[in-house]
Amino acid sequence: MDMKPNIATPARTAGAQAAPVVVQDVAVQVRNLDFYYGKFQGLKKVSLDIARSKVTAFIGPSGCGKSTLLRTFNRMFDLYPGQRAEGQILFNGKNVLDRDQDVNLLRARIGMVFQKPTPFPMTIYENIAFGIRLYESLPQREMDDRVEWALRKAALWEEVKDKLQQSGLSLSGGQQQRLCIARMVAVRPDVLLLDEPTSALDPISTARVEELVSELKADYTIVIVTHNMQQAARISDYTAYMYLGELIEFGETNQIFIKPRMKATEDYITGRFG
Amino acid sequence: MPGEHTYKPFDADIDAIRSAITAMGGLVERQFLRAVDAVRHGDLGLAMQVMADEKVVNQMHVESDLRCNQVIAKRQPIAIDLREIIAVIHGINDLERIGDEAKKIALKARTFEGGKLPIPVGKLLQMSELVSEMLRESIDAFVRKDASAANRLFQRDVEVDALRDELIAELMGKMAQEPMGVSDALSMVFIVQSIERVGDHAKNIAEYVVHVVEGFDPRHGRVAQDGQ
Repeated sequence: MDMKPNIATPARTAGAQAAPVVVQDVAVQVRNLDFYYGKFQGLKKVSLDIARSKVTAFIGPSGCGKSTLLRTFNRMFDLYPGQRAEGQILFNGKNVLDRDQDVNLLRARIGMVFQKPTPFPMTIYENIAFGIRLYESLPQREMDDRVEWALRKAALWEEVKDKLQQSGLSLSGGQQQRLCIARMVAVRPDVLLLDEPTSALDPISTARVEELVSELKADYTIVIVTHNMQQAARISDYTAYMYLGELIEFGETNQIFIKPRMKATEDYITGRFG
Repeated sequence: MPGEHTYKPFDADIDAIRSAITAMGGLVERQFLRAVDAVRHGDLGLAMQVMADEKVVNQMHVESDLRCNQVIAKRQPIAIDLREIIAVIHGINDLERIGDEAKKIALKARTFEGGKLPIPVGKLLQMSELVSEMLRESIDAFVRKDASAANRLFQRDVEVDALRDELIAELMGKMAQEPMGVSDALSMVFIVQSIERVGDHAKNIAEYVVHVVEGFDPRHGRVAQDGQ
């Protein structure tokens, strides 16, 4: 789909002017997005562009709306009554918030990995094959190839190739998270959503997942929510800082972490957030 | 200017680094003034004090550098904190080099033991006073995060360069007129060059302040900005 570059206009704090950031190749456009948990407004007129084949990080204090924003992209909020989104999230030429959007298809195109690894209580092989069967009917040989391909993509194949019939739950936390990434990649999505994917992992497993994210961005558009500032600085190309449901600043990560335009961003990333 | 960190020991670390650059700045300023006085009066005692201080300056340089490394490793500073610590690392290098220049000047005092200089002392004093003011102002600017000091120091550096050119022209003339005095005049040329370099280092420090405050690197005109 051909999307014209657009200018994301961040919300501003008093007395400061945030220069707009131009994303050249846009995969997802968010426009004037409001989100409500019942009567509480969790997102306020958020607009930004998600760059294709890049990593975009959402940062901000707890409750700022970053996970809420992430979960609107594949309408994960549909699972919870009383939650609703208004505005536009344009993906492949269509507003994913439209009523006629096929949500299952959307979640195949925009996959998600959560904070805590969530392998299914089945074999490693079936953890991957299960998702594929929901969308495709593959002969056994092709299914085997796809499972191997997905596990290789998630940098897990060498560690599990001899125990594909063991339970996914037998793997370590870091391996389980990479299994979830493999499961997501197996259905060949366009966009990967990662919601604090390493917060429950040790430093070595975290480094492996971060390395994986850096490799996957060649083929996928990646959006990650993280509380770890250094992680956002390490692996993302673009960073969005959110506070109280508003997008305060959005820009290239190099700019945000060296000289943010907004004082509010600087106070947060330097640990001066009161 | 940013407020306090939520994690207060980070503020204590940064305060300690700022104190170190202030103390080191004060010491090299004293070295510089003593070195010039040593030349002016042919006072070898002052020259010896400059040498003694150099060891302290070198020690402070190493300690401050280590402290900056520790803060980077432990606190992982970003944005203005990172810019400030990088500026300190650059700044203490400049201060250490000012100490080196002071030592070079002091060593030349032996040439003029007894205070007989190859040229009148007025312009040399004028130049060294300008440079010591630059040095003081650059350290003040660092502590107060005063980015406007860079422009003032740039102007003074132009004045210092002009004085250097005049003094060297005078000394060249002296060498042409008095072949027996070439050695003394040449020593004075090296002194003038060292004083001028101290001014350059002070200007560098003021430029680091601009980067800390504004996130813009003014060194070498706009060249350094292109990658930002």
